[in-house]
Amino acid sequence: MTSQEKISNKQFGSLVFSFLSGFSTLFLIEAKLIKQDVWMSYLLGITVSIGMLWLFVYAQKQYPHLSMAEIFDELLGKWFAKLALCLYLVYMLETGGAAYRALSFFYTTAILPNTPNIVLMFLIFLCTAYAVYLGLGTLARSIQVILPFFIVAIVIVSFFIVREIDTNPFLPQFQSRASEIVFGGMVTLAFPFGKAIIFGFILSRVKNVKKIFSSTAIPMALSGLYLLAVTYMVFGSLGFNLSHAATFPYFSAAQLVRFGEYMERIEIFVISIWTVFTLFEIIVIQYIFMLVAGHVFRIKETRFFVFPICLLFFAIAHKSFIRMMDLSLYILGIYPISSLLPIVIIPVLIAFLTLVKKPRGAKKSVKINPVG
Amino acid sequence: MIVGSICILTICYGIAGGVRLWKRQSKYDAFLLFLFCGFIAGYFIPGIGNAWPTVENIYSFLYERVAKYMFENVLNIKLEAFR
Amino acid sequence: MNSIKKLLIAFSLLSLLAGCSPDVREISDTALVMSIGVDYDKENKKYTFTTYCILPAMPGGDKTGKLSEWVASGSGESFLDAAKNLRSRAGKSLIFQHAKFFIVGEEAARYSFYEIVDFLSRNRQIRITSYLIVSEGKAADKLQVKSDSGDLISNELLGKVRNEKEWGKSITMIIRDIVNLFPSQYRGYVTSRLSTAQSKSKPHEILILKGGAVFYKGKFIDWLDGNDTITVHLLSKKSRWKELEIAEVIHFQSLKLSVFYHVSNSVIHSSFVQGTPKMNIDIQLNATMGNMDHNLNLNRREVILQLEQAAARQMAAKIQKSIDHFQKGLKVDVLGFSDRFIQYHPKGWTMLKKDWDAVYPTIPVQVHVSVKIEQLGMIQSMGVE
Repeated sequence: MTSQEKISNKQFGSLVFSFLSGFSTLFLIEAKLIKQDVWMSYLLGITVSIGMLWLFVYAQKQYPHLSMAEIFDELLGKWFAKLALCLYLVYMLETGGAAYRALSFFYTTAILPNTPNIVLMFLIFLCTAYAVYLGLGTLARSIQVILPFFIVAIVIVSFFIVREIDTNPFLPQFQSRASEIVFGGMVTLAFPFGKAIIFGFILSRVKNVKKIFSSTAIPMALSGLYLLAVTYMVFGSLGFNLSHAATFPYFSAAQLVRFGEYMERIEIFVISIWTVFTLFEIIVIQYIFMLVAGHVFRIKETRFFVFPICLLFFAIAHKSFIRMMDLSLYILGIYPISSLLPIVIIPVLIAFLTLVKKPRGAKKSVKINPVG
Repeated sequence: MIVGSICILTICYGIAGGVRLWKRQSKYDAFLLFLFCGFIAGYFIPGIGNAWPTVENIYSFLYERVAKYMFENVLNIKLEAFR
Repeated sequence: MNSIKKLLIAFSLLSLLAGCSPDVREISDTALVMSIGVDYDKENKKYTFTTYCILPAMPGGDKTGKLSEWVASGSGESFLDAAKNLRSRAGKSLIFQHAKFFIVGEEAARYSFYEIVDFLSRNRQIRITSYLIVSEGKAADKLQVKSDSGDLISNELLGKVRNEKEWGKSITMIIRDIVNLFPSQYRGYVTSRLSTAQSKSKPHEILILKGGAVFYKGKFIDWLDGNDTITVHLLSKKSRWKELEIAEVIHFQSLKLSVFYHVSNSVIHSSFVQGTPKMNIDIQLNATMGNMDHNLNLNRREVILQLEQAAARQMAAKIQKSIDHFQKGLKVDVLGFSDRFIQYHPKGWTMLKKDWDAVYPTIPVQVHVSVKIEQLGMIQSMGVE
């Protein structure tokens, strides 16, 4: 492991894209509710998410030599900063636990019905714990290598699903009420795009600070475009009723793809995309959790805490969302509200305080042996 | 069996890691590691683990009424989550 | 760190133990389910689940290189119960992932279709690209029938489904379309009809796939004949008609000639005229001459034009007759008129949908068919000297 390894803007952008694109196409929750007007909800959610991340970028640019956790200390004072950072820790536990459960539910529903959830989650834990141990640089390089293959796979699957579409599924437009669009926007903001707020804590690890915003906004926009394209393909190929009824609509749509008469089961591409991207999401969440927890609890030897931190995520996931319906209802009902604090309120507060308080010269950070 | 193994593994790791850190004069880190591993092991103890806090339980308790008010009264959306 | 790596390498060797697993299934112990039949006894409220399976050949012995067929049935109080009870008779491990056909018996289609569709869409082993067919009488009887060509029943059914685009008198839906249209309160759908007939060359009965079964609001309504099924093909989505080839006999003066049509375009326009819904259907067909029963001079342009007009009138009348049957006879929106209003006239639809069942039979439908006889074949005409 190397300490304080910086990653390039492209690597950072690749991480953001893969972080957002894995889980987002699994359930298509807001699409099932809003149907053909869902693009407005997506636009609302993405715009607010990019805006909130911009606020963090703005704060980071004012304090280029401090990490975001240290900026919190600077702006909020020691104890309020700890409180705010603890809120982010809980938020990451919430998001990581949901990601664990979503992946294990998918496997036990569609592929391995006789395998207990705990076995799958334990395998996820082993894989992600080792990846967190290897550090940010290794993670960023891995995603840079893997991402082109997945983009090719996504394009191939999409090309063959598009052949199944006969009519424009996004007609008629403007059938939903404004409150429904706002609700969809809130769900989109919470899941998946608002989750990118945690990347604020590794902005200081990106080489070119000036181009950070484009390195985040462009991948977020591309991820939004991917989600919209998937929604279009799912509605067009399956129809509204089947899309609404299917637990994993994109997976069901991928089942329609056939090369010739007998070559089927191309949905394996979709399974691999989801699995790898969701694993990367869990790894990033756990890594950032470790950085923030290390700062909050003033841990010097954070590498000893990699295993227990990842185990904590596993433990929380094991005890949460026992039924698949619990997860869906939580994401629709509680998550859009519970995530407002870390995604919207705190970034606005931080940006406001950055504007009000002037940075006192360039401050050098005091590093306490972080991992990677 | 898996749950029991993980519980034992966590406790063993906490002790081994804590001792190692103690020898390195990182007593604060060692103490934190003992505490942390003990807390996590609690999740895997049969019976006790169900009483251990989860984010889902805490946030559902904290936010359910707020969410219900926001969605049903402000946005006028009826959600299955609150029935 | 090194000790962790060594531990990981040691653990990876455990993957070689997969062959020791008790879940391993020998290929000779498996039966590949190719078709499934579902029947329902309304009086006893019992389901019968029938599987048509292929047994992979045993190594050595007389039947090496050949596939054996095996038909097994089980009964139960629900569809899933019947499927599980089949295990009492099955000496093999059943693999359902390759099942291509679901044959639903007539009584099951009439009285228990919801449970069947729910099972098919919920089960992870069943692919949504599999076909659903409704059988006259019992589905279990159909799976016992010997094929006309000597091939496996499932292969023969697959061939019949492939032949639909060269015939048009049968229309088979996949599970995706059935599940998507099932909950609709406004439109119906058609899938193919399976019956039996006496073989002309062999002493046993053979399977016939002809006509359709109409469903609406989750229930089986009635059968469709072959001609009505052609209309459903012509007025469905493009994937249904773009490769369709239908044969027709045209009566022109005293001439009887056969042509086969390809569809170059098929458009349905919906509109509101003074608050009243209206449908316009525009079909463009390309015709190729098949045969004539006596000589006609086809070298004259006006003769060809007259033939085209006669063909177009005949085809339009046929389609109009089918549409009248759908509207006034069945009273089921089989062609998806409601979908057009929902997509293109959402405001008008909010009024229509309140009383759609009463409005639909009264919607005026204008059919316009144009035919172009592009190909005459390898000869122009066979004149008699």
